[in-house]
Formats: sequence, C-alpha cells, structure tokens
Amino acid sequence: MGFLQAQGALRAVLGPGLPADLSPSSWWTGPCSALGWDPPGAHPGHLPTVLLGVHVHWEVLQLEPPRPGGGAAPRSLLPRRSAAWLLGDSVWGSFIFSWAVAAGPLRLHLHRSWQCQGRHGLPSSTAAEFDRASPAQSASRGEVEILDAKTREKLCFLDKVEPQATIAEIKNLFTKTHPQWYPARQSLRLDPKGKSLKDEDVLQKLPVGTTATLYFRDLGAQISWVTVFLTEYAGPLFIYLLFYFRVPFIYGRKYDFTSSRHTVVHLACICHSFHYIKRLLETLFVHRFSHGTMPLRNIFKNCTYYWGFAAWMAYYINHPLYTPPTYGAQQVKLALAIFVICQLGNFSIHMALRDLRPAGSKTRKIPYPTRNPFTWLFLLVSCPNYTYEVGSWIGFAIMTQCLPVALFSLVGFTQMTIWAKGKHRSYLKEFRDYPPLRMPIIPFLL
Amino acid sequence: MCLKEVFSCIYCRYRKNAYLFIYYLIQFCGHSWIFTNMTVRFFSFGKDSMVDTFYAIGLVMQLCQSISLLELLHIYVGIESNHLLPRILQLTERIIVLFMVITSQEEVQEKYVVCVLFIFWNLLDMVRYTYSMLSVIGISYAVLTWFSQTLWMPIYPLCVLAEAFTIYQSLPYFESFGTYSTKLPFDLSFYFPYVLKIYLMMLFVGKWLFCSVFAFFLCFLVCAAIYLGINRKVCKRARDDRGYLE
Repeated sequence: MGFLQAQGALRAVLGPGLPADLSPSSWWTGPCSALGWDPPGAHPGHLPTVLLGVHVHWEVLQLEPPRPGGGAAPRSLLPRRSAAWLLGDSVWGSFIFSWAVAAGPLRLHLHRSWQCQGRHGLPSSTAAEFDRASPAQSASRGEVEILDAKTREKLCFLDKVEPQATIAEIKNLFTKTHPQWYPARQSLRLDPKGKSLKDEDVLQKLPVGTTATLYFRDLGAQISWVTVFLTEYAGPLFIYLLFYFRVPFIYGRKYDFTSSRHTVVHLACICHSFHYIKRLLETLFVHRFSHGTMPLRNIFKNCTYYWGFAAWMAYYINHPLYTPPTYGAQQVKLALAIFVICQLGNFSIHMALRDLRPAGSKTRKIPYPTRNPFTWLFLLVSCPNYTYEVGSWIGFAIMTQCLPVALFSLVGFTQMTIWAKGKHRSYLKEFRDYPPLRMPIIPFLL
Repeated sequence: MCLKEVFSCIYCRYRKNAYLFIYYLIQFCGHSWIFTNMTVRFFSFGKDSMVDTFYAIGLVMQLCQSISLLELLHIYVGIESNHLLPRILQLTERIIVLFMVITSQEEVQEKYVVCVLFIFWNLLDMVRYTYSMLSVIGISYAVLTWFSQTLWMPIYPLCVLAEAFTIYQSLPYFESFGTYSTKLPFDLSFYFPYVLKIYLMMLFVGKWLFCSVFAFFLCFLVCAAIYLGINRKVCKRARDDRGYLE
C-alpha cells in the first residue's frame, strides 16, 4: 500500500523528470552520471558500493582503476571486502531506500503542513460563507470581541458571527485581521486567567451573551508535531552512522573508515538504525496526533537531547578500543531477543492505538487487548508502548554494556513514567469503568 | 610516502618510539610540575594564589606550549598518525591566546580567568601526555585510557568559554594601549581588537562544528571576508579620529 502511494506521490511532487520505471536501478542512473560516479551495471561487483552512495576509492577496494574506454571490469577481480562492509552497505542501502520511499509522502506532507499551519483540517469560514446564511438566522447572529489577556486592549471585533460557529472558525477570522498570529498560536479563553478554549467548542454553548468577550494570549511561535518528530528522529539515525563508519576527525587517523572486529558493534548499529527508521515511518504513517503544534523552543530542546545522546552513545560503542560485553555471545543474544520482542510490542501497541480512533475523529476510548499477543499487556498497563520502549532500550544497554546507553534508558524511563502517569490519571478521570488492575507503566509496580 | 617506509624497519621503529617517549616525557614533566605547583599554591594560599598564577608558572607553560609545536612536525613526518588540521587549529588557538593575549598584557595576567584556563589546559594535557607516554612503551591502564578518550567532552567547551572570556576581558587593554595595531603602508590597517572579536566568532563556530571541517572552512572564509570588510570601514574611521602608533 505504502510503496505504490509513495511512487504516485513522488511522481506528483518531482514532476515529469522522473524515468518511466521507478525500479531502484534507474533511480540512480541520472544522479550518478551527473556526479561523475559509475552508474550500477558498469562494474558488476560494484553495486552495493554505489548504493552506499560513497565514492569509495578503488585503491581501498584493491580493484583495477576504471578503463578509459569504459566497459565492465573483468569478473575475476571481485572486490576484497570484509563482511562488515557488506553489512554496512546493506544498512546504508536500506536506509537510503527507506528514505527514498518516505521522501514522496514526506515532501507532500511538509508541503501540506506548511500550507495550512494550524487549520487542523477544519473548514475555514470566510465572510462570504456567512453572507450566504438565510435571512431568518440573521437575527440570532452574535458578536465576538477579542481582548488581549494582559493589557485588556481591544484587538478585534467580529460582528455577524454565527452562533454555531466553533472556536476554530473564530480563530481563523481573527487571523485575517492579525495575520502574524496564525490559529495554532492563539489561545482564546473566557477568563484571562482561565483555561484555554478548545477548537471544537461551539460559541452558542459557551456561557456568553450576544456579545462574547474572549481573551487572547499569544502562545509563541509554533511548530507542528510531525516536523519536530521527523527532525529529532532523523538526527540520531544519521549521527550514529557517521560514528559507525568512523568518518575522519572523530577517532585517530589510523581508524578512519575502518570497521570494528566485534559482531556486537554491527548488531548495535543495525538495532539502533532499525529503531529510528521504525520511529520515522511510524510518525509518517501510523501516529494520529490530537494536537497539531507545539512551541518552537521544544524542537531545540528535543533535538539537543536526542542528537546529543545519540552522539555520545555512538562515540563509545564504535570506538576502536571498545570492549565487548563481559559474558560474551550469551549476553548479546539474550539482549537482542529482549530488544526485538520489545520493538515488535511497541509497534503492535502503536497499531492498536491507531485502530482505536478512526481518521479525523477525536473520540477517546479505552484501549483493550486484541488478538495480537503483544497487546495483552494492556490488561496490566495503561501505556504499554512506553513499557516496551523502556524494555528495548534496556535490552540495547545490556547488549552493548555501555554506560551512556544505560543513562539514556534511565532518563527516558523517568520522562516516560511522568507521561504515563499523566495519561493514566486522565484515563481514570474520563472513564468511570476503567479497569482497576492497570498500572501506568510497569505492571503491579508503578 | 617514502618517509613512512624509512620509519618502518624495526631498528627505526625503536628509535622512533624512544624519541617519542622522550618528547612525551618532557611534556609530562612540564605539565606535572605546573599541576603540582598550582595545587600546592592553592592549598597554601587559598584564593590569593589565583592572582599570580601566571607569575609562578607562566614561563613553564609557555615553554611547554611552544615545544608542542613539534607535534605538527610529528604528524607531517608520519611518526604520529593523526589528522593535521585539528592539531593545527588547537595549537594556533593555544598560541594566540597564550602569547598574544595573555603574555603581552600585564593586566590580563592577573585575572582569575587565566588561572581557570590554565587548569583546564593542564588537565587535558596531563592526561594526554601520560597516556601517550605510556602507550609508546606498551603500558596501558584502563582508567587512564578511558579518561584520555572521555575528558575532552566536558573540558573542550569549558576551554572555549574560558578562552573567549579571556579575550573579552583583554579587549579594553588592547584598545587603550594599541598593542599590535599598526598602520600598514596600503589602505588596510591592522586593528587588533577587531581581529580578536572575529577570532572569537571563529572559535565558537569552529568548535561547534568540530567534526564537520568543511563547514569550518566556509566559516573561515566568511569570517575572513567580514574581517576585511569591517576593517576597511573601521580603519578609515579610526584613522580620522586619532591615528595609530608608528
């Protein structure tokens, strides 16, 4: 489903300059020849390196230099490479491929989110639509006065507002007079010190007279959740791979572009990259966000946290002097099993939560276990996605036996506990018949 | 590289290791002397020892940092396998701050930030030279290895901040005494405080992008362009005002 859609989206976005068949080999021909690289097919043993996207100097690979007249290299001279390179190639190749697949809907999505900053997909109400209202209703039209919450100065006066208008429509109208405050940035409330009104609240149902007085607060520059998530998850993916491939200037010169001789280092790279690719794809295709935006400073805070920890972890794990875990292959296998189980569990929970709420609606329901065994944790825990997340990071920490990873799991655990407790409390407040056995994040304990 | 082949025979490797050991030993002695001196003076005199730090250890610190210029030669020749560019950046930074900013102005030598800066440099260098010295003769300790690979992470940003603060504190003295500011025969004049301010910018940007050298080069070019541009404007105005020392 996703790939066909992505193809279509890619065609729509990138335009007619796309080759007729979108198989991966033809994608690379154009850019490769433009950048002076040999396109795939020129050297039969060369394909994975080209997918790598790095012009690996042929002396390193001990190949013959390319002949002036072109033509394929003799098949007897296959590149002598370690298994790590091939593994790295496949990691990188899958990374680039998944990015290319996601690029289409990603660009479409970014385009869409930039266009309608804060519309939340709700229809806008223009003055023309109001004028189309029947004359019989004109007598019950209300007026809305918007004052600044701090200075109480009058910012806007909207007359001929339909009583059935929602707060979202009022925000749109307010944006027309003050274009610098787009709807996502506005917080309208009945009382200057009260709670912010929701977008779905209807004007008629609020305790106001014919002239409603709303107080406005500027929430500051906003940025959409999806943008934040994509940025903060793409960073660790890229940064870890920089350290994994040991690009120059990080470790000493004699370690440049070498690969580690421990299996656990390669496994750790695969697990880490898989985790973040999964998160990116979930952000694009699985998650349904109830709030559209968050304050702009959050992107700096979150990105610093994720990128900083990723760089710190990656530096130690991919260090030339890294020592593998104390208990050897047994420890690595056990930890890998924990990691994989928790990743699958996390994904299942995200899918279950997505199926709980149909597209576009804002109904809230209690999540229950489905036929998937991983979702049976719902019997014991309100937020099993956080439980599985912590579990996978603990598995990663055991696998690499690395202190920054353990610290990262700990910090993540504290943050997710706070979120899980908040969610658990809101569930208890909202639903009378909430199952009493459930704990927020850890069964029976927390 | 033919020099690498020269150094590859066992006899030459022995000599190379012996030379490196002696070099690191000299640096280790210098830095450990500084470390011991600062510690003892701090425990004897308390906070008062910070003011005449430079008076007590400045000479040895200058010696050690000057000798460390030899490391560029080591890397160029090939007996130390490292990248040249980061080492050049680090050395120029240290030399500029130590000689141009601190040594040349007596008033700057008495500031507290000089003591703080010397502590950071000393810490880094102590660990580095001890580790290098021992590894050249084949001895390694896990804790020392861990420190040598980890300590730079908290200390480098603190170093940058301390150096920037030193430069910032020294600017008034440069402006009033006009040190290092000369009038060149052609249109461009060399007004040092502005050089330092731009160098400050370069420091921050360069350290921030430590791993991406290309971006640093770009910033270097941008800063050079800004420097030339600002200099042209500033020196015209400054020359009209007061005129420089000859």
